[in-house]
Parts: sequence; structure tokens; C-alpha cells
Amino acid sequence: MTHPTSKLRPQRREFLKGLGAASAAVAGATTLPGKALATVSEKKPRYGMLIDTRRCVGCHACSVSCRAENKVPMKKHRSWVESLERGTFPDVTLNFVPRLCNQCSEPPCVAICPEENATYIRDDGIVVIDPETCVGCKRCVRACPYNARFMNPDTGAADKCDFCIDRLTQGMEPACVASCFNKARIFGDLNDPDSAISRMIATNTVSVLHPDEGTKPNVFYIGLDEVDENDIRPPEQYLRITTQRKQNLRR
Amino acid sequence: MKPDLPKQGAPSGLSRRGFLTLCAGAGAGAAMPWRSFRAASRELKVPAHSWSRGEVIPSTCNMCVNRCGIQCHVVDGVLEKIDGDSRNPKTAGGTCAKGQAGIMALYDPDRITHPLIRVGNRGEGKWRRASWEEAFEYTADHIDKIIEKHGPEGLLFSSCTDLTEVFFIKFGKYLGTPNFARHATLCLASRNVGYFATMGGVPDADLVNAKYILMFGANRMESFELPHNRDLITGLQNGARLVVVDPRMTVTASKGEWLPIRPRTDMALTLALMHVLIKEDLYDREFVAGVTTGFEELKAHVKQYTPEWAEKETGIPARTIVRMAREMAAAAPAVVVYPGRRSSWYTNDAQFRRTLPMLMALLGAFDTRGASFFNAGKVKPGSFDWELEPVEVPPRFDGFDEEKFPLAHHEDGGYINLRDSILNGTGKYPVKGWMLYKQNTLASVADSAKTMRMMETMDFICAIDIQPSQTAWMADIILPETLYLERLDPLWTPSGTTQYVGIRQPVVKPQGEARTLLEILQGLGAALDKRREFETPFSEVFNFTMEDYVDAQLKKLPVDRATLAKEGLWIPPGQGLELGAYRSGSKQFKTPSGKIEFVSERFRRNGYDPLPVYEPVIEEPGRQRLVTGRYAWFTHASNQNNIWLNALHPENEVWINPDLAKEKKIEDGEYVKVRSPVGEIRIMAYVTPRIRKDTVFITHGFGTNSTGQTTLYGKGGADQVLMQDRADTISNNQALHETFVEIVML
Repeated sequence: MTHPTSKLRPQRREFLKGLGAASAAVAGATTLPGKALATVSEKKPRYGMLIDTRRCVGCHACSVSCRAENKVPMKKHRSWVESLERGTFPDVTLNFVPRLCNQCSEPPCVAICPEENATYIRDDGIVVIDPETCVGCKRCVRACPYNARFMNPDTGAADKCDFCIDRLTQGMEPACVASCFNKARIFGDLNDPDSAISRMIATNTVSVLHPDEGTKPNVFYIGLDEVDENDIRPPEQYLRITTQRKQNLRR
Repeated sequence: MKPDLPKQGAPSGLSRRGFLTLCAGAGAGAAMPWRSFRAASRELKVPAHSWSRGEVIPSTCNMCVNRCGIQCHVVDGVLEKIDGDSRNPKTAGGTCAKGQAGIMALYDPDRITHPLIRVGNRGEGKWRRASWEEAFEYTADHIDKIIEKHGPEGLLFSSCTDLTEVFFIKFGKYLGTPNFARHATLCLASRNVGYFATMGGVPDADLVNAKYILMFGANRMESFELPHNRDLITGLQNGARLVVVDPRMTVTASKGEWLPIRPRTDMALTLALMHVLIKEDLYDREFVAGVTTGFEELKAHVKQYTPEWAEKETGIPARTIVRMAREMAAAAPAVVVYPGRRSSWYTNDAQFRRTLPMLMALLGAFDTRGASFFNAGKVKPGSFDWELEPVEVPPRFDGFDEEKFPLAHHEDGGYINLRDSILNGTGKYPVKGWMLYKQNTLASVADSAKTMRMMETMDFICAIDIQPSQTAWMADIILPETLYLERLDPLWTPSGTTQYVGIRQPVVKPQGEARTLLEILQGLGAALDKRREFETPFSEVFNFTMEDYVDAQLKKLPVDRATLAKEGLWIPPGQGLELGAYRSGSKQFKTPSGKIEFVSERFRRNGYDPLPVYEPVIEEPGRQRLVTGRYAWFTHASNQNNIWLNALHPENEVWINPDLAKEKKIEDGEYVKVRSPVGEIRIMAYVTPRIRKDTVFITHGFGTNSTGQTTLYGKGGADQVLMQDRADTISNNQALHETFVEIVML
């Protein structure tokens, strides 16, 4: 089974194959057995996030909290929410997919970067960008299957979510997690089997976005309705994907 | 091999001052007092956006009326970030998009930061900057003229609910006017009348432990009421069943079973549910016998309201209604029949709301775990001693009194009745001056053309506001108030499952020359004192500081102001609910009989149907009923101009069912004309199966006429332009869902 979106991006798939990154694809594994994640028993933390979409109401507290915390320029988004409407009256479903950088363990954005140290995976698993070193070639922006990266007009460098490292170093949760009053997000150490996130992953069916891309995301979802804004509307079936990220392109 | 690419910074050629682009499009970016971007340190590997967290000051949010606990990160006097206060029992650390965007309300380039006196025609948008001294003299002059000619009762005071509203009301009372118009009849007046008549109050709900939750229109996932929205999500994860009755599929409805009811037939559903509960002997006999009156009359009354009859009215299948009644009875008493909040829907709303506690009582779903309950409130701040008695006032000009609306809350006024009294000349005496305190009447009362005409009759309009709202734009003078982040407010306690005393205190200095409401009223009072002798001079009435007021409130509590300012809140020992007093009969309901009244004595005495009688719906073929409601990121008509919030939703749309769109040949995203008997707007179509074919939905707060709202101006259309001025017959709560509109291609 391949994700429907993969068909829409043959070029990128070819590209990834060329790099050898796709060889590690978790083909078809939309649900991951939770325990498997905690097999690496190291002392060092590996940060991840779990988003329980059942608790998400699409209120955009995370979107705005992120903008405030990270001073994200207008019309750019580190954190956004997709809302999905499906079905016909009166049998309609409405689901939300809060989105952010997936902090992949096999990040194509890092693989494609021509500069050394411009973007890399930290020991704690967070994929970061050094805007001083980034040359602004935009390759990573195009390589990300999640559209999580953008060019920051203020720095001229690529930019994206970094789990609010600044807050983490001060013992605070990422801004999106802290602001979520329905507690739809759990942030924590995937290497610690006793962390809240590990326990939730162990006891729930979780999935990741685009598992076929082989990126090994560290952002997990419960109750994921797996379509994103790149999907086209399938014929004969009503589906609307709305995201504030594309407001300027709206309709 | 490394490609030869320009170094960072070059591609866009922009400076590294990160914040400037945040306000691109708003024009006044350079005035923003945000810190410039700090260069990343290669050694430390700290991302470029890093900023010192500075001082953390606890306070209380005011982006809506929920008053969530917040913690404000202030660096060098600049508010950098707002976080939720995780110690706050009500909000548990959460904030919403609006709370986060409080920063942009504070540093909004459109914000009014010094007094403005109109120089052009009303609404033309020509203003001149005035000093506070001049502003007070100017306002006092006009008030004085009105008092001279019409007496103090010639002034109307309109305000929106807030902690400081008490000062505004007091000012009007000491001035000597009985004419107030508060928020209630734009919101929940009909619900309150219905609930108070039936059970003497509006109950809270134990949503965490409920097994079955029935909501009529209430949209807790988008129209937040903390902690109810979080409790509801938790309740659902605990296995509760949620049924939402609404012509539109709200986010709340998406989390449960959506019953797309034919609008205005909600009472048919509640009556039929009662019919089934009684007919199938599923009601709580013990509860009904113990704490209710009028059951036999109810039984005879609802006999006619069969599920089959209700199916024809509501469009909800009879078998669904029977199933619901059985499911509710099986879950009872852990059932919440949710009262809802904004009940300004239909002209029969107070009667409909009465059926909700009646249904609740049949299920015995009160004063027990997982049900509705009265929260007595264990802690209450003391009250401030105003010392001087307000002067005696004549009766209201608009007849909003015992005789005309016996069950309404007369001091709150009723907007529809009030406006008609002015326009029809039926008022007892003329009202020629209008004092507004952050009330956006043009955007919140049905039929804005009528409101506009009412404004034309006014000799003087003074708006106290933070932004050039639609209504403030039509005023003669705007007095800029401080934002909630810049001032100390009266203390408060939440009325819910959680008990604490919270403080709202200044976290930054006021922008420009903005002043607190108390300071504004003190200044205005002093200017008035110079002009005439009042029985209770304002210099004596308002002879205190905000600190004095808070200290008076704290007198009886074991916490002082300094501690409260440091901690942000004080939580009394012994949280938790004590349930069962009403069930056991040791506490009485505040109704004439002391019980829950199926047959309302209060309604009977005042000439209303003592049992809710269903009136059939009159529809207008070929036209759609217009309904309104909330999105999670906007509060009423107040923050659509906020740059961060507007970016989430730049303009409102009219929701159209796909079948209707097909008939009308309207494409999703196309601009259409929406026409009602009283107005017409141009608005984008949002074709969605989340709404009935006979209904369209438009949210509030767009289509502003104020060019001062630079982010919002020119976007979307105003629902209040379309809405006809209907009102609930008992409470005069405006009935916003009684207008039929026509969708026309442009």
C-alpha cells in the first residue's frame, strides 16, 4: 500500500531513490507497534511528539502560539492545522491534522543539503537549521515531503519547527504543547519507556504521516485521517482540505 | 562540490529584524516595540529566534470573557509571549489562539492610543488628536448640554460584560440615568429567563463524568467556556456519548452524533423526548415525586407530542428520537442536558430553554455525579463600599419594565425594544446622548441600518474602546482605554467546578496615552463636577484607586494583594463538589414552589404559557434561514482585525449546502450576494455538506465600515446587515435566527 500522495510526486520519489534515502522506507506501515520505538535503550533523550487528533478541535492555539514564540514571519508557518471535511450531508466527518516538522530520523532535507552543518540532527533527535551557515538554496524546502520547511525572509535561510529548543533548554514544553488546552499533544523522550509519550504510544494505535517516504518521523498521531493538503479532491467523493497555511492561495 | 550560491541574507535582501515582516501590510511596522532578531551563535547552536524569557508576570486573559490564567513573558518592558498558567485549575495551562494573539491586540498598529475627536461627518473617519484634558472638557460639555435639555435620563449607557464594567454602570447611576443596555439581550437573556423560571438558576455540568451529553447548538469546541471544553473532550474519552442538535455541523457536532435539525423546531424534539420518557415509563419516579411539581399536567400536555409528529417537524426520524430517549434513560442520572450559552436564536427561545431543565428533571439528572448541578461557590471576594447612595432615577425611557417584560432583567435593558422606542418615538422621553463602553452595537445587534438610524438621532456619542470598531467609528469622540495587559482590574472568582481568586494586573506600561476606565471616569467626573452640582459629586464617588478597590475585595480573604500579584491566583483549600442537597430536599430551588416546576408558576402569573406550547414553524419557500455562530479564533465582533487572528481566517463566508449550490449554480469560493428584507451583502460562498439545505451560516464581525480597522476593512460581509430585528417575546433577547435570505449570483 502506498500513500495516495506519493503518486502525485513522482519526481521527488525518483530523487529520493537516487539518494538512497528511500531504501529505508517503512513500506505500508501506517501503524507502528509502540514498543518497537523504545527499543533503543540509551540514556540520551530522543524527543518526539504524539498528537491525539481525537482531542484536537482545530482551534489554532498551536498555530498562533508558535508564531508568537518563534517570531514566525506572516504568511509563513512552522506549525499549522489542516482540517478535513469528507462525506455528503448528513453523513459528514470533520477531522483535524495539526502539522509541524516531523523531526525525521531519516530526514531528506538534511540529506540533500549541500552545506556542512547548515542542517543536522542533534543528539536529542531534533533536526535543526543554522541560519548562519544555510546558503538559502531551498533544496531542503523542496525535499521535505511534509512541506514543513520554508524560506524565512528575515534570515534568508530555511526555517522550520525545532520543537522550541529554546523553551526545552529552559525546562518548558514546546509552545504548541503548552498552549493546547484540550491536551491533544504530548511531548517527551521516546527513549524513556516511562515517559508519558512512550506510554501513550505503547498503549495506543499510532501512525505517522507518509510512512512510505521512509523518513521515520518522530511525530506520531492517534486517529490520523491521512490525507493532506497536497492531495487532490478524489472524483465522486467530497473532500475538502483547508489549512491556514494556504490562505493566500485559497480558491 | 558545493554549488555557488549567494550567502544567507542575500536572496531576499531583507534585514534581520524579524518582526518587521510580521506587520507587513499593516503599514506601521516600524513602530512595533519588538526586539530585533538576535544572531545565532554557532558555538551554542541556539536557533536564531531565541530570546531571553525575561520576567514572568501572571495575570488574567481578556480576549474573551473566560478569564483564563496567563503568564506573560516581558523583556525590557515588551511583552514577548503569553503562556497559559498551568497552576490555574480552570484552564490548566491552556490558552487559545485568541489568548496567544493578545500580543497583537496590545501592539496593534490600528489601536487607538490617544483621544480622538471627530472633525468630519459621522463615520467619515476624519479625526483629530486631542489631549485628555480637552477630551474630558469636550465630553463633559456635551453631557452637560444633554442634562440641561433632557435631564441625566437623556443619556444611554451601553457596555459589554467585563470586570471593569461595574465602574461604567456606577457612573451612569450616579449621573442619574436608568437607561442602560448591557450584553445580556445579545446573548443569554432568554436562557436565563427559561431556567430561572423552571429551576431558579442555570446549572453547571459535570461533563467529565457524564455518560450522555445532549447539546442544542452549544458549540463548546469553538465557542469556549472553560473548563467545559476540556471536560467535554475528557468526558468523550471516558466514554460519554455526545449528541449535538444543530442545523450546522459545528466542530462540537463532529465529535459526536450530529442531528441536523430543521431550524426553530428544537422544542418539538425536547417535547417528544419527554413524551417517550413518560410513555415508556423511563423517567426517574423518585426524583420527579421528590423535587418537581406539575408532573401530571406535563404528562397530559406532552401526550400530543409523539415522536412521529416530531419527525415531521424536526426532520429527525421518530426511531432516532425513541432511541435517544431510551439511551438517555439508560445513562441517567449521569446525563447532561446542556443549557447552552448564547440563546439569541428564535422568538420562542425562553419557552424552548424551559424544556431543557424539564427534560433534565424527568431523567433525574441533577445534583449527582455526571449530571447538572448548582455550584454554590465557596469563595467570593468581598465587595467595595461605594459609601454614597446613587441618586433616585425616573423609570426607563423604553418601558423595559415590570409591565412590558415582567420576567426580564430590567437593569440590563433589551436592545431591540430600546432601539424601537427611539426610532418609533414611543419612548417616554427623549434619549439624546450615548455612552458606549467597548460595545460594538453596529456589529452585534440585528439590522445595522436601524442601529445607524438610531445613531443619527443622537446628539452625542462617546465611545470608550481600544480600537476603532464599527461603532466607535461612528462616534463623536473616542476615549482610548488600556488593554487588559496594561491595567489592574477588580478581582474575580470563576463560577464553575473550580474555585480560586484570580487577579488581572498590568504586565506592561500602557501604549501611548491610553488610560484605564476608572481613570477616564475620574477625569470625566471631575470635568462634570465643574459644570454642575451633583447630589453625589463624582470627585467623592470615584475617590479611590484601583488598588483601594482590590484591597477592599481582599479584606475577608486570607491573602494580600502583593501575594496575589506575585502568584496570580489564590486557591482556597478544599476544592471539590458537594452534591445531593437538592435531591435530598435540604436545599430548595429558587422558584415559587421551591421545586423544579414543570408548570411554571412565574410564567402563569405573568400571562405566559405555563407549559411550553409548540408553535409550528413558518418557512419562506425558496429562501434560506440565516444562522450565525462562532469560530474558535474570534470573539464576537471584537478581534477580527487582530493581525494574527485575521491571518487564520481573513474573511467570513456564507456556508451553503452543496445541493443548494448546485441549484443556484454557485461554485465554492465564488462571491455571491446574500439578500434579506433589510439588507444585502457580498460574501464568499463556502459550499459544504456541514449545513442543511434550508439554512445558511455566516459568522459575525466582518464587513466593517471602519477604515480604521486596516486589516479587516474590505473583507467579508456583516451578518447584522441582513438580520431582521426579531426578539424573544419573554426576555427581549434578540432572535438572530429568524431571518430568511436569498443567495444570488453576482
